[in-house]
Amino acid sequence: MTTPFIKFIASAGFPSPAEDFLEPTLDLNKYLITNPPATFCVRVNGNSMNGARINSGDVLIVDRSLEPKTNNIVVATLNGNFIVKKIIINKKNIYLISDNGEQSKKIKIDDQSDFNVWGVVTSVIIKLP
Amino acid sequence: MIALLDCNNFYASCERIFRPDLILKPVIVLSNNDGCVIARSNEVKKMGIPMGIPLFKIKELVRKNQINLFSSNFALYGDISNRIMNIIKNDIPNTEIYSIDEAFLDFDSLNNYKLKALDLIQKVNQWTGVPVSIGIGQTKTLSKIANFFAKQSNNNIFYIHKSNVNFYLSKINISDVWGIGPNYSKLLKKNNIFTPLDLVQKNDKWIINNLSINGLKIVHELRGEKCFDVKFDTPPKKNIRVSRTFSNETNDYLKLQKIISTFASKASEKLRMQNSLASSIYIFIKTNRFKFNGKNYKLSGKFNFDYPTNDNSMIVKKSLKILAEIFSSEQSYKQAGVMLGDFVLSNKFQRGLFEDLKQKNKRLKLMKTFDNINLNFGSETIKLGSEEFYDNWRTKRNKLSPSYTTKWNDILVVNI
Repeated sequence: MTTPFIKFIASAGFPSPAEDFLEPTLDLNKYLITNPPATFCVRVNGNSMNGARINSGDVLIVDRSLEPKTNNIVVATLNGNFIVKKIIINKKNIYLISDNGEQSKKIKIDDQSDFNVWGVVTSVIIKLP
Repeated sequence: MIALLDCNNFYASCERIFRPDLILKPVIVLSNNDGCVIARSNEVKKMGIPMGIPLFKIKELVRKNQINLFSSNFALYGDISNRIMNIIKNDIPNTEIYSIDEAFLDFDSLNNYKLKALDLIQKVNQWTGVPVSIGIGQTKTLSKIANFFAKQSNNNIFYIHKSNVNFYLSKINISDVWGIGPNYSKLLKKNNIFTPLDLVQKNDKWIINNLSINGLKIVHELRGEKCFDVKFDTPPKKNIRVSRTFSNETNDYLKLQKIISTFASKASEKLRMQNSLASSIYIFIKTNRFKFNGKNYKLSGKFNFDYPTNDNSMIVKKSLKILAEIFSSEQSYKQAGVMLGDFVLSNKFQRGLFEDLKQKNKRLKLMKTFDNINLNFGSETIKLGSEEFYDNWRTKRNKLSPSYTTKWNDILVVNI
């Protein structure tokens, strides 16, 4: 996130040949976040999404401005609780799928459930030990 | 055409972003020290709990109705506010951020006001989770009134067309008009003016005699003539105030000295951030409002600098001198504050005839270094020796929610 605003320190010898080609350092924010005002970070606790390469302790980058599409991983609220699931949207129904590799569980969203998509997960940040 | 975008129950709505279990449940946000109600969800408003009431007076109601209480979490509210203002400014560059939860938008160049307003309401709500409402009128004052009706409409939007301004002016109380404070409302009601419609029918001479020039501007705005522009590049503040209510009363002089030092230093930092110099300084200390049947003792003093300054040690020194003059050990104090005023821009000030410029430039350089260190290494990395180093007098916040958007350790955790 650093932008070199001080140009190269004047050297007594030769001026730096790179001076005219100065560019900002790689910015992880730019790489990972397309819409900053709509983006939030969320940490997961649990292993029900291991199959989608999301492990306990990982940080999800969530964009609230995206419309959820089928097969997206979403952060959603179901009856007042937060969940992280893969979403399947077809003409008639919405399904939520948890996937821990060996078994996947499918929940059908019906009219009775208080369901809202909170945001769409766009990246997973994994810190290696 | 001007639109006023206002976030609905802003602080309460911010808390709900990360607490979906509280949607449709009563939520109250408390002031510093968890003293008074400063934000209410609609459910709480319906219970008749007024804004500003001290928490101890509604303890029973809170328990009986299972109202969810929050200490104010300004790190969160500030961040969400920035997001919302960025969303709006991206769409409407001519936007004046009026407060943490309100903005005036210049709609003049648009063809379809309602469509744009609906789009913004939907966008802010989806992107941040905060519900907002938009009032549209010919002037800022009318857009404020339109917003009053927007809050009651089911799509959170209200447009007052110039052909039916008078109808709406007759529908609200004079005290709900932007810029008409409690004193003016009292005076107007005494003169049988109960609604803005009554007011616009008075002649200009009567208005200027009774309400001054600013009152006349308000009336002209109510009549549809623009007197206040949408200022999208915010001018520097005209005064800076740092004040706080303590969690415990104190009459410890040394402690007050530290508190005043800290406030004065903080105020001078804000002053330097906007490139201003202050010509005057005002200090106050106040006793507990609820202890003496609503009466409070406020002690205050003012000092005018010979030359405008933003030097923190100078400002702190003078603050402590005022404190020494106003302090009385017979009272305990609940609140204290420092206010800097009469600003000049630091690049435009008139040099004093007997000012030691060499010394002044040295101090300016020192201040720059001081600010740079705090900017780069975190605020309060270095302070003056007279400032407080421990947090024990700082505000009580027993029901503080996590700083979900500003601290990595505080981000939302979802159990999956």
